[in-house]
Amino acid sequence: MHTTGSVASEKHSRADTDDPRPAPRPRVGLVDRRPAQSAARRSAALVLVAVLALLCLPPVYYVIDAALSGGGSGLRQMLADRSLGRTVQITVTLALGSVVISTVLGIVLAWGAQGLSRRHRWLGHIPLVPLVMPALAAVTGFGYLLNPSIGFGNLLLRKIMFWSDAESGPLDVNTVPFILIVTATLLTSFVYLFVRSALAQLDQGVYDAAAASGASPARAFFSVVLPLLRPAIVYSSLTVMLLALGQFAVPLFLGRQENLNVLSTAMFVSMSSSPPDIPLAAAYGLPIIVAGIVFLVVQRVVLRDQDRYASTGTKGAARSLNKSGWFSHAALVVYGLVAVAAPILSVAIVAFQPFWSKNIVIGDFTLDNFRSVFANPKLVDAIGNTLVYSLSATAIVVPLGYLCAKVLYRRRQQRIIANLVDVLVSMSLGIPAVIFGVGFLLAFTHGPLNLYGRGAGLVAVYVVVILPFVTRLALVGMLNLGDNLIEAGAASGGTLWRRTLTLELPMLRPALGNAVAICLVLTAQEFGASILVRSSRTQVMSTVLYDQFANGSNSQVAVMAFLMCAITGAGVLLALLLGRRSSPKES
Amino acid sequence: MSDLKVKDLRKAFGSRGGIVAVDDVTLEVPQAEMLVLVGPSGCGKSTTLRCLAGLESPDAGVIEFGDRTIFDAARRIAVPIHRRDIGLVFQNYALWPHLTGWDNIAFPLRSRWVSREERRRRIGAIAEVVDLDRRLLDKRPAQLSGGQQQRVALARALVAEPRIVMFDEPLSNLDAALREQLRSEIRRLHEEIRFTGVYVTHDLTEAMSVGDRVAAMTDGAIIQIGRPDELFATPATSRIARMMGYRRLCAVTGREGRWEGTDCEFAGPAPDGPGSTYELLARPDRITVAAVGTAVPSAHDYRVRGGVVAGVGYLGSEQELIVDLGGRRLRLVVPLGRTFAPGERVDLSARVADTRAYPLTDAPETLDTPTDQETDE
Repeated sequence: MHTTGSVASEKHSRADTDDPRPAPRPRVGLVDRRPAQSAARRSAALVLVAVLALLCLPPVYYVIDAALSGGGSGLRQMLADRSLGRTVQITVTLALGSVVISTVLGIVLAWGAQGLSRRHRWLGHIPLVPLVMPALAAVTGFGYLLNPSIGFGNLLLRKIMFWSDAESGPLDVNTVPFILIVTATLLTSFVYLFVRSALAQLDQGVYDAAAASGASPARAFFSVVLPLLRPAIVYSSLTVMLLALGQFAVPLFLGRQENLNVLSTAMFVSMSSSPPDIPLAAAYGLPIIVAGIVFLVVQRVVLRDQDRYASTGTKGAARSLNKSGWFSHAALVVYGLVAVAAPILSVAIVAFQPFWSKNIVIGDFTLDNFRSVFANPKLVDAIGNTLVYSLSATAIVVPLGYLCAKVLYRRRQQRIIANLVDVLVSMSLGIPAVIFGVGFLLAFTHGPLNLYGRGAGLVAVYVVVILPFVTRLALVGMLNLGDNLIEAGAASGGTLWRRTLTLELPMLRPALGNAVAICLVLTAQEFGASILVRSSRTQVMSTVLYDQFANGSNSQVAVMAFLMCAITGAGVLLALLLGRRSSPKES
Repeated sequence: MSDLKVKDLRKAFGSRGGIVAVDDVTLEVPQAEMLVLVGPSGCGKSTTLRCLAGLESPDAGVIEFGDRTIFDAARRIAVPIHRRDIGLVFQNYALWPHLTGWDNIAFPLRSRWVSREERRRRIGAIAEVVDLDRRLLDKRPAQLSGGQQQRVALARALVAEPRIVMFDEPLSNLDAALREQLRSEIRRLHEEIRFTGVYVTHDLTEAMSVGDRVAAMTDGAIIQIGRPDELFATPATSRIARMMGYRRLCAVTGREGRWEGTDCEFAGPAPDGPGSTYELLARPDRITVAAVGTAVPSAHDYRVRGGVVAGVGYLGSEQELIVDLGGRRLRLVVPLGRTFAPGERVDLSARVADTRAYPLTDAPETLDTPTDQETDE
C-alpha cells in the first residue's frame, strides 16, 4: 500500500492535515517597496488632479457662491419672479417628457437595429447622427421645417391633408409640445447608443434559451432582454433627463419668440440683461447643479452592481424581434427622415434660396448667401476662431483625457486618486455647458487668470466640456486592449517609455483618433458655454449664428448652419477613416 | 546551482487580503530545468507565475534569479518586470497587432539595445529553431494562424536568451492536434536550448510531458514536487491522487490487524494502528469490473460488491462505465470485448499495487461529495 510521496515541505502539506492555517500576515504594499517609482507615479497623478480641480471646481463654486451671496438675494429674486412657476413647469415637462419619449424610441430603434441584415447594417448608424450633428443646425432646421406659416413641413401637410385652406399650421414649432418633441428626438441618440451597445454585448443564448423554453418573442423581450438591459436603460435615461434639464439651444431658439423659458434660458436672459443680473442667473443655475450632483451619485449607485446583468456566453449579439427586417428598416428610416434628413434639407434649401420663401424653385438657388457670409469679416473671423480654438482644445484635451483614462484604468493601484479624477472628469457631464459658461465668466474674469476676451478662455471651457468624452473613449480603448499586450512589452524588457510610445499609443490609435475627431466636431459646434464666454473679439460660428438668428437674418443663419454641418461631416469622415485603419484587436 | 529560488512567497487579494492566492510557496529550479506548476483553476499557479514575472507584487517572500535578488519583501526590493531578464509566453499569445512578426520578435532585442546586425542574426536563428517560415515574419499577427502566432510568441520569449522563460498556459487556446504538436515542440526546444523554465498548466498530460519536475498546487500551496513519474506513482495526498486521475474505490478501517469495511472486502492484513480509517483510490483503468458471482482474479485484493451499471459509453478503443455504488457514482474505463448493460449488477476489484490508501483525515470533506462522484477525467 502506498501512502508516501515527496511532499514539498511540511507546512505545505497542511491542506491534508488538521493544522489550522496561521493568521494572515500583515500585507506589505508595493508602495513601501518601491518608494521612488510609486511616489513619482502618485505625484504625477496628484498634479493631474490639481489641474482638473483648477479647471472644473472654480466655475461651479462661483455659481453657487453667486446664488447664495448677499443673503441669497438671487434666490429671493428668482422666487419673486412671477414666471418662475411656468419656467419650472416647462423645464420639468421637458426633462420628464424627453426621458419617456427618448427611452421608448431609443429602445425601439436599438432593438430594431439588431435585426438588420449585413446589407442594411448602415441603417444602424442613422440614430447616431444627431450626436454629431450640430444642435444649432438641427434646431434651425426644425424651425424652417415646422414654422407655422412658411415651414416646409407645414406647407407639405397643408398640401396633402385636410388643412389646404389654412394659412398657418397645422404644426407650430414654437410651442412647448414641439420643443419637447424636438429635444426628445435629438436626445434619443443617447439612449440608442447605450442600449445598442448593451444589446450587442448580450449573448444570443439568453434570447435563444427563452425561446427554447416556449417564450414568445414578445415575452422573451420583456421578461429576459429588457431586464438585462436595465443598467443601460437607467443610465441613458438619467443622462437624457439631465441633458433635457439643462437643455439650452432648443428652448432658446424655439421658445424665445413666445417667451417660453426653461431654467437655462432664464439664466441666459439674466446674464444678457444690462447690467447682467449675476445672482439671479446663478440662482436659476443652482437647481441644475444640484440635479447634476444627484445624477453623478445615482449613476454610481446604479452601476455599482453590474455583474448580475452580465451574461456569460460568447456567441455574438442578441437576435432581433423580427428577422425579416421591415420593422427595423421602417423605424430607422422614419427616424432618419424626421430627425436628420428633414432638418438638414430645410437648412440647405434656405441656405441656397435667395431668401426664405415657401416657394422652392431649384432654378432660383444661388450662392449669394454664401458670398455674403464670406464677405463679412466678422463671420470669416468666427470661422477662423472656431478652427483655432477647436484645434487648440483638441491638442490639450486629448493628452489630458489619455492621462485621466490611464489613472482610471489603474484604479486598483490608486483608488482615491482615481475616484477624484472620475468625479472631476464627470462633472461637466452632470453640469450643463451653459452653467460652466456662467461659472467661467465668474471665475476667470478677474485676478491673474483673467481669460475674458481671450481665446484661451474659450479653449479652457471647451477642454472641460469635452474632457469626459475623450477620457471615456481612451478608457474604452485601453479596456479593449487589455493588460496582456502591455505586460508582454514589459516582460520583453521594454521600459515605460518604450512600451508607451511603441506599443500602447500605436495600438490606441483608433480610439485616440476617434477622440480627436469627436473633439473637433463637438468644439466646432459648442454653443452653451461659448455664448456666455465669447467676447466681440472671440466670436465663434455658433455664437455668430445665434446673433444672426436674433437679428432675423434667416439666410445667413442657414448658411452658417450648413457650414457647421459640412465641418462636422468632415470630422466624422476623419473619425471613420482613422477608426477603419488597422483597428487593433488582441490576436 | 539553482537558477530560480522562491522562499515563502505569499500573495493575497481582496480589500483586507482575505483571499490568499499564493500561500507560502517555496521552491527551487536548477539551471536548465523546466518546472511545471499544475493544479485546478484558482489554485494559485498563475498568480505564482505572475509574481515571479513581476506582474503581481507579492505580499511577502523572496525571489532570487541566480545570485540576484529580484524581490524581497523584508528588504523592500522589487526589480521591475522589464529588468528581470525574463521571457514570457502568454495564454492568448499577446502579440502586438500593429507590428509584424519580425518586429514582435525584435522588440525584446531592441529593448536590450542589441545592434541591428545582431538582431537580424538572432531573429533568423530563432525563427529556424521554432520552425517559423521566414516569409511569415513579414506578416501581422492577424494574418497568421493560431499555431503560427504561438510560434512567434515562443520566438519572442526566447530570442533575447533570457535568464528564465515563463509559460502561462501557452497551449490552452489551441485545438487538440495543434496542442499536442506544440507540446512536443516546446519539449524539443527546451532540450535544444536548455533554458530554465517555469510552465503553468491545468492539463495533467501537458504537465507530465513538458516538465522535468512537476509541482502540484492546491489552495495556493505546493503540495508535492517531483518528477512526473514520481507524482504519478506516489501521489502524496488524496487530493494529488485525484488530480492524477485516481478515483475513490472504497473506505476501510483497520482494526486489530484486520480490515473492516461496509462496502469493501480486503484479502490481506491491515497495517498496524488502531482504528485507522482509510479511503482507497485507484486509477479508473486499473479497476476490474465483473458480473456478480464471477471469480475475482487472485491478485486482486480489494473487492467492492453491489455496483450497478448506470451508464455505458463508447470511447473508441475502450469503453466508459458509470457504476453506481450505493448512491456514489464512479467513472471507469474498461477494455472493449465485454458488453455491459445499464442496470446490470457488477463487482469491482483492484490490486493492492494499483491502489493508494490515504487516511480519511486527509480530506474528510471529499468523502461522498460530488468531487468523489465526478465522472470526468
